[in-house]
Amino acid sequence: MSKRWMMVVSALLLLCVAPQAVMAAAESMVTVTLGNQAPTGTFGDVADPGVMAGLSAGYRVTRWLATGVDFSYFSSRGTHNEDVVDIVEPGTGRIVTVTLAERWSVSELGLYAKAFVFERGRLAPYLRVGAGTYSIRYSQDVSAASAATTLGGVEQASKPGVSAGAGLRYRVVGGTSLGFEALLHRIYARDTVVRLWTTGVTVGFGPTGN
Amino acid sequence: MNGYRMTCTAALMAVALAGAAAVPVFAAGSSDAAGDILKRGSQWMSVRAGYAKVVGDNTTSGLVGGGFGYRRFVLDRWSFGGFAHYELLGRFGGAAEIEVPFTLEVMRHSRWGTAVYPYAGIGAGAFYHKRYRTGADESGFTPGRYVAFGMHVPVRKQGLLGLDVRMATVDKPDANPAFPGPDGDRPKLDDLLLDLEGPSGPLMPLLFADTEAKTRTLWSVKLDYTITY
Repeated sequence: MSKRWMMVVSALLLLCVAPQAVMAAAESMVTVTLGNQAPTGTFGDVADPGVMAGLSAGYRVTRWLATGVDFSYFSSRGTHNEDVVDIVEPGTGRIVTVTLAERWSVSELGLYAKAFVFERGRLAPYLRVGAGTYSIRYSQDVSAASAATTLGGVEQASKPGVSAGAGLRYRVVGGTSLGFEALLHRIYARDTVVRLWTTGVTVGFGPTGN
Repeated sequence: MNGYRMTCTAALMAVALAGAAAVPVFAAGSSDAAGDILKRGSQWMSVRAGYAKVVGDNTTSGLVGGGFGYRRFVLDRWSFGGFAHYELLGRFGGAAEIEVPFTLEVMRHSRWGTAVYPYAGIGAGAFYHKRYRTGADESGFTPGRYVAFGMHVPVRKQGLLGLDVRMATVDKPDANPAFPGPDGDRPKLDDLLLDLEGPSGPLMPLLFADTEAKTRTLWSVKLDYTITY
């Protein structure tokens, strides 16, 4: 084991045996998350990586457990975006050359729970799981066309889903904290499971003195 | 239209939450004295009945609904609860459309003065939908989410009378012989998730003039009676 890995392992051991943080239970916090999302699996074949934003409000029930509600929004372009395609216009039967404009968006409203592990001082790593309703929206349009076309539309459906991941929170001052969070979302559609990763920077706000 | 609805929903939720969280002028000085019924550990059991309607073009007429539920205050002024409702959304002749939401919700409660308890919050759950005597009956569950707000006033010891307003967003069912809706033969989102994997071309799923919103809004305004303990 190299010297560097020895130092990492030593630091982790120190975190394990160190006294628990002085952060008390019964704290409440609102957290804003900004980052990106990366579709994986079959969803990665139809959607490109994009951006995400989230807002959550939670409460720390015990020293190691917090729970709350969250709303997240993910947006990305489709993999056919900017592709040039010859289509047959249904009304006239004419061939029209179009440049596609595709977009996927997902909004989520759900509940979550965080389990804080190896918390020490201002640093609080945690594991997080959640469940909620996901609304998946697909829009198809044209950004350019050789002739008039009626191509364009929107499809949308709500699905149940779950999420799991981990994060790290660092208390800056008072009730304000900064952190990082990575989650894997699984959304259960009719014939497939929509999977996407989200990673983002978190900013938390809570009453001073938490 | 869908974006407009989303904007309205967000604005309404913000106003409702602000209204519930804020203490009006006439209640100044009483904010530190939330009643015992808003304290952590308090439990509420509610029954309610009233008006229910689908919002949108060519939708069924609004009719009646009822429900019951339970709330527990997990923090002072914050409750977590579960509700079940039964809503007859409308009738066309003998055909009927029914929605049965089973939901969980988080509400922020407040107190204005000495006798008004407003609240606002959000919820989500499974919405059972049923159309019958239509010639093409259908039923099934779909996820839904909602914002809700309302208020209570004490009418007896441990008894509150209130008004509950909620606006839920759920998937719009396909058209059938009795009720309007999107064309059921169109490529749906579940199909698009798989069929768009292929290369671009004339054979890929294409949406032509398919701009109708695929979600709809369910409104309900109900009288509520709550027992606190």
